[in-house]
Amino acid sequence: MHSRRSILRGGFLGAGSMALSPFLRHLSMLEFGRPEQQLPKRFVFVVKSSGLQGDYLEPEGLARGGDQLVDATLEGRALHDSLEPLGPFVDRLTILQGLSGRMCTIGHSSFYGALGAYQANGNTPPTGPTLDGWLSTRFPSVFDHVGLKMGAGGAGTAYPAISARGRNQQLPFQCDPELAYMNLFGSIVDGGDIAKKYRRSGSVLDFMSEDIRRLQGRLPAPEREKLGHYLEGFETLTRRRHQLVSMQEQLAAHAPELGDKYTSKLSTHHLDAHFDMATAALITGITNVVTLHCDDLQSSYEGIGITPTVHSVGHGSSNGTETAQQCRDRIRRFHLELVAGMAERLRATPEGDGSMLDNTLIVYLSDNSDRHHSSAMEWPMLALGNLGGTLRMGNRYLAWPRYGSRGHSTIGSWLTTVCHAAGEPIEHFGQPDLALSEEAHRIGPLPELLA
Amino acid sequence: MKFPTLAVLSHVFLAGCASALFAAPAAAQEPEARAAESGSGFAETAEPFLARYCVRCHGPRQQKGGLRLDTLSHDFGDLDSSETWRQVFYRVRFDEMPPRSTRNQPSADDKQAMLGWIDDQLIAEGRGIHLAEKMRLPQFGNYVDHAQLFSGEVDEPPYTDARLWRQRPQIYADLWGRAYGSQHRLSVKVGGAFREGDIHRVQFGPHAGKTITLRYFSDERYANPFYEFVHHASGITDYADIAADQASLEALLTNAERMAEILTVGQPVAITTEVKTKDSRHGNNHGMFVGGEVTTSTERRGEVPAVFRAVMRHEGTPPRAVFDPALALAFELLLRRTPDEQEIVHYYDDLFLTNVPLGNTMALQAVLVAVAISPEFVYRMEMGLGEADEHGRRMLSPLELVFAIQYAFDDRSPFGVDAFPTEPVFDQDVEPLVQRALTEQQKVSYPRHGWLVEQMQAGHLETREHVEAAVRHMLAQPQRNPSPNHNRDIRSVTNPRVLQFFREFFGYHKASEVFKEVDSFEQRDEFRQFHNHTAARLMYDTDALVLHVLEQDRDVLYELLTTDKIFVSYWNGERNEKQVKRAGGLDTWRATHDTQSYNLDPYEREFQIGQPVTAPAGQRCGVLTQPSWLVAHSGNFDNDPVRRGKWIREKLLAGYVMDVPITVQAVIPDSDTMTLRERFAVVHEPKCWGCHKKMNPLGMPFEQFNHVGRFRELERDKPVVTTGTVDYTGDESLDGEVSDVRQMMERLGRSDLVRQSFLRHVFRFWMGRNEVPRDSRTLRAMDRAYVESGGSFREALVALLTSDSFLYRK
Repeated sequence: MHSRRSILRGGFLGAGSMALSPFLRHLSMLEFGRPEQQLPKRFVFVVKSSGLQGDYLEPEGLARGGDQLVDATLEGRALHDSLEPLGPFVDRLTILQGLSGRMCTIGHSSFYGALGAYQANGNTPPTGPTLDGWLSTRFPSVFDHVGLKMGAGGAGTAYPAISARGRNQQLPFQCDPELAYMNLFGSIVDGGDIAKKYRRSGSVLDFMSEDIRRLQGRLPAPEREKLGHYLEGFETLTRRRHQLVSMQEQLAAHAPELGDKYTSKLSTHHLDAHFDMATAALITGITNVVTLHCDDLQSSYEGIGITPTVHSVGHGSSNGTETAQQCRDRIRRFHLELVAGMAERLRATPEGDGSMLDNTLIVYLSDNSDRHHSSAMEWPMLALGNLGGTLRMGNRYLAWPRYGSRGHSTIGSWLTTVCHAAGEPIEHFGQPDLALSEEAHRIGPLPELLA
Repeated sequence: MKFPTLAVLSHVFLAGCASALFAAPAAAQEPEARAAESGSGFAETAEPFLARYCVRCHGPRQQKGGLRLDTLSHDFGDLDSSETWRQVFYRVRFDEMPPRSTRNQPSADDKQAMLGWIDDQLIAEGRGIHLAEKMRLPQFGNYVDHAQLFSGEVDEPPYTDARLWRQRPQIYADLWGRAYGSQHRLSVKVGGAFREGDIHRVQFGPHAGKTITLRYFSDERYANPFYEFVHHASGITDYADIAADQASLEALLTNAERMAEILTVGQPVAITTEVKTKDSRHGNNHGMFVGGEVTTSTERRGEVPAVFRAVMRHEGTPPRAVFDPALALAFELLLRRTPDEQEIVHYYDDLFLTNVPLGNTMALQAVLVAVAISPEFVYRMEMGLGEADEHGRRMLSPLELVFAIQYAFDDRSPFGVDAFPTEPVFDQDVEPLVQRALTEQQKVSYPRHGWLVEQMQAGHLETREHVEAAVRHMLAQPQRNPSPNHNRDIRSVTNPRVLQFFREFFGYHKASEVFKEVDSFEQRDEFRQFHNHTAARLMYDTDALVLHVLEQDRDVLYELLTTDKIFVSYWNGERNEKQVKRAGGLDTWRATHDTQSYNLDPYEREFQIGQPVTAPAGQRCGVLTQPSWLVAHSGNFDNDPVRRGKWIREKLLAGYVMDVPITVQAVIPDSDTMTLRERFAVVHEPKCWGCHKKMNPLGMPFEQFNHVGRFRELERDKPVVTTGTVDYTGDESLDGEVSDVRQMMERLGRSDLVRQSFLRHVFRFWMGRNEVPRDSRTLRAMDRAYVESGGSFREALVALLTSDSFLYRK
């Protein structure tokens, strides 16, 4: 039992300090038991801007916002139209409603708060890790974290300020599908700019690590060690390239084809390409953690016929033929079609006794909770998968009691739950909501969800 | 401009002479090698120590606490005995044993030898405390014996080991952010509302005649590779011992790729054009116009250096004559120096030519990326490139001094960039307004060389006297920004590193990191003045106070610990009717006013921006009673006497408190009727009090304030008790009870120990390392300079920055 005060005392931001001590982790492992051979766990976060509206996630006949927990099956209930693409995955689908995130910044975006449950700002460095960044350190692979984003025009690396590996360590997102392809699958490309850039990075790494080695030889011991850490970075990156070369066959088998989507002028095509790459990256095992940032307020869905920017749609602009709400519905549907495509391919890839989808968790949410101008009183989410059965999820609708009432819970508890399900329990993720009564901001995972 | 001396630095990186600079100190032997077999060295070190100081109480005659040390196995492979040795280590380390009451105390050297022996044995068994490595970290700075540093018993000539010092995040930000770390976006809106005044109209195309407005955004968006990760308790964020690692490299590489693109093909700008349709909505400014037909495109802009263009456009493989000027400019832009011949050959043969088959632009980009991830870019080099003296120490060269002195005061590079010819990237014929935006707005300019560079070039940075003159010159600059705020932050303060030191020493700038239940404060008396932005404002108040005390430069530490002056940075003294109305009436305005953090009604005093005000009598006493400090050292719901006491113990009394043992689950009971002091009674249990006695009695006087820093008389309707105790300081004149904060601070403010403890932190901050006994002369010189000048902080800093510790490397 951890007291609230012990949580607060630690300062909730450093996940390092929040993580259980190795001994406690060992204990909890004994308690939960860990099979000898574990199948890899994968995490996908699909983050949109401008809010995800709870009203449009409610299946027929189910409500939210009351003072009782709603826990119902989705069976036999019609989903909202925009959720139709997920129809074939209802057995894995969980709709999560009613969790609040009042500890976060509200307005146009909660930035790191959506996946970190803490107050954040787009222009200042993150004060702690976000769930995706944190998981990437626990489930590392060739790429610990892959961040892809639909940007405007030819934007390259972007920092949407939604993901962080730790305090002051924000994670980059690649907007340019070609550059993303070069990073992930560059080792299998013949010719063209992508192959050239890939070769160039290799030669720069080699050149500089030689220089560092030479310099190192001339330094006194403590300084040699200091430079050693830096050199290790070069060696890791070089090793990564070798790993990718050794995986060429596997990569070639699953990597998406470099088609028109990658060079298209339409950003919606880019997003499509990003989903393809993310899926391939998961299937080939070169990463276990992916965050897809679908859009930001300046993005345009011109490619699917929605000409005003996301910001304008959020302010009620129509595209001439459809109302703003209809535009929002279609954008949501577009995202979910891409999610379904990813799920479909993971389901078609066998793993253990089942498929890769069995060991994957896909979460769809907004970096700005429930509305274009958010209040974070609720933070609607969709989740696909149950992470190898560690989560009691699938075919389920859960709506926690409204903010302030008994049994209410926060996104911090949800993030904590994922950590527990991943086999990496922590006391509490992010910052508690101090305005809630002690009973309401339960520390630890959500008992409703843990298997 | 060429700097001949700059080339010297390149030798460290490439030429063979660097090895001659390092006569590797013999002490750099691995600890594993020292403790070859378990228990070795017992007879020489441990046995005599135990016999002299321990066995009387823990031997054949007595076994106090059930412990006998003379028969304790020195087989460290045995778990039980090694655990006991570990306990012995901490007892001796924290001066708990032998008890202070005994006259027979080990010397600092004896103690160090004993601790080193135990640690070596533990390390050999893989359970080491690793004291030697820990002593390099700022949070273990106080482990060096205080008396030994100031007594004069150590009198060797000081120096600092030759070292690499990772750039601090702010230095990188200054060099990188605006030039290469911004994301550019242009928003164009066509057909908005007509306004009187400077209406622009579309000149060409189908929309000719409609209004056009635009806004240019260039936000700095990049990951700083040199994030801070210093132990939070120490407060000091820039230490030479911090290494750059893989995460740094990945961020550096990402940034370098973008920089290489900007400098060769231009800065990408995303242009969003929205044309009003019948479904658009618009107000009377750019931001209010939403909806419409959107088109997006990307253009490139900026200025590409002519020498880069020459490489890119050259038919076939560019020869050295074309390559050399390009590399020289790359070095100047990124390293702020000129490459030497050896480097040019290296870059040309081993990198540029290798990549030429990929195309000249790609090859040039490879060179740019390489320079921006080179160790010289990542680390400041402090090798001591001057002549060796009779002690084998070498003074920093004039070039090294330029960096050392500049970065002691500022985060801006001392070197600028000389003007160089460029060619514009964007040369299309488009709407004049867009054209202007893409060519004239948001231009990147490079800074000029600083004053120190001029001094170096004039040969005025060669001797200690030169350094003193330079340091005095820097310190004499008038304060540009005596009252910082969020718009004019610490970056625009003269010598920002000086203010940064006081922030990191006191830690008051962390006020906004403590989360408060702000929403409920609106309804709560004594808390109504505290809203979302208050914590940050309180920090700026204290900034102004610190700058004010530094401006006077008399009895600086005493003033900082005892002054009853305060600043309210976000109020100009006006009682503006509009503000009153917006606040919801006079009563609310008064009750929620910033001045209330200091228990002042805005009608009570005349306020002027930048001018101190005297706090109500008997309430405030120095920085530790500033609401910013109190909030920064508070909990979410309560004061935190433990952290406050720990702060005083470590920062003012040169003491230390053990880290919370992992077995401790500290819970202070909640209560609606008890005061915090009463609730803290639980830590008086013997197992807690061993550590808490060093903290709580120092922190309790601050119960005089509520947890957002407002002075109070009552807590839970009971009169506040403000007593405390200063104890275990090793200085009898300090120890004893205190009735309140003022009595405590007056006593501490006049103490030699407190002053010296403060100066030790000054040393750490500016040297980027912990002080060691060898720095004794430097510390004593600082102390003398401070005392003899009547408490001038500047004099203490001059003494440090002209000391051997600062100037010499070995």
